[in-house]
Amino acid sequence: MITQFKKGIVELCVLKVVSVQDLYGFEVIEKLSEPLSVNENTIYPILRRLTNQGLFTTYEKSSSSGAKRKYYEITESGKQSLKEKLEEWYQFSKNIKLILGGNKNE
Amino acid sequence: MNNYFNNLKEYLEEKEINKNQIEEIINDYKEFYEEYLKNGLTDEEITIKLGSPKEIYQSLKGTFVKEQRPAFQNKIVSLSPFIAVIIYVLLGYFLDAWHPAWVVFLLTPLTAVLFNQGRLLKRVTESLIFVGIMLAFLVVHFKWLEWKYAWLFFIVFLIPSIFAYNNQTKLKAIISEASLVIAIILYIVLVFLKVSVPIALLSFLLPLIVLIYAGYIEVGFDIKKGIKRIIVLTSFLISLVLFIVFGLMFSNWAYFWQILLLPFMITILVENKPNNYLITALMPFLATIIFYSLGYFYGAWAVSWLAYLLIPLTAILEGKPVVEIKETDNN
Repeated sequence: MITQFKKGIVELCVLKVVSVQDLYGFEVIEKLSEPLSVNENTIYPILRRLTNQGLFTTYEKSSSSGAKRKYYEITESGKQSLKEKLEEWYQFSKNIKLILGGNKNE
Repeated sequence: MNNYFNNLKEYLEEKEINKNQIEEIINDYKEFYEEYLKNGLTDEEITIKLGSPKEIYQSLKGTFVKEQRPAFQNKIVSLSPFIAVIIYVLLGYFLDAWHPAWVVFLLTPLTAVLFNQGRLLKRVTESLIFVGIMLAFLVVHFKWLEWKYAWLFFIVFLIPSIFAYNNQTKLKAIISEASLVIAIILYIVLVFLKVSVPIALLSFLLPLIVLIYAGYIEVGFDIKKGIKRIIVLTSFLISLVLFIVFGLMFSNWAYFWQILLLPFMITILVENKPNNYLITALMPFLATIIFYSLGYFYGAWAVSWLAYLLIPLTAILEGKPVVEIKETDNN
């Protein structure tokens, strides 16, 4: 898959999973690494960048074992960005379906 | 585990990432490490999974905000070794004051102390490498060679060192630059040895082959199509014709070889992209012309080599100390 294209999709997924619930870094990695075939060196830079852009904020919380974890929380502009990206994605996938689906009536 | 994180920290420090960001990255990676450990992975498996410091740095490249320091302070510290050499050589050569003049080399540690960068030792060490090369050059002159020939030592060691010093310069750029330097030296030596000019000219085949093979993108030899290709090829042909015409007209091949540098400069101008270091890219050629002209016409070889200091000087002055967040992953 084209790298930049894949990165865009991973970013969309990161926005989505964090929008559902606040997650710590490793949880995001666990949720996405297998289905998207990516590792922490793909996901972590995206988490950092989205935080730098103000789409996420972070806070610390201790786990049951006492270890501190950094949680990512989506901001209002993060929600707005997710909404725009989802619309783009739905439009894009609809167009791809039209091209690849072979259904002339669509 | 500690070793792994120490290596990561050192690597990021080398890349001049600021302290807060390093701490943040280390803490985040430690968190991943602990989680993998809980999941039953061994130390070795985790370090393989997380990747080498270089891999981590590469993946994070678009997310760094470099520490913002006043640009002039950085530049003064970086410029000081070169200014020191210029003062030292001028005082030594014109006033024969080599002995007390050496104290100007204290300028480098002094400026580093005055504008404490927090990486004092590193900056002083870097500067001393250049000063070392220049002092070695002076020793070569005083012990073995006339000024007229000693500069060959200087050109061989200093230019590749400058390119090697710049982390962003790729190996192929260094090799290409070195091939050009070798060709110039070879040509001059052959002309001085009274070898016929057409044969001496073959020296320039070396950089030409290297540049074509390397696809010298850094200074813009990546010629692919259209008008740029025509301009560059035409400039090579015109320079060759001009060189032969001037050479025959003035019966002088030992000076007019510099015309052959023009197409390389034109290629840089044509291929230069916005934000590239244009003057720095052109400076090795301009410095060579200044150096050789002063030496050739005025016999000022003893001081004209200082022209080569224009290369690091312009690189420092043209350099941008602050790097904004680059959204490279977003394109």
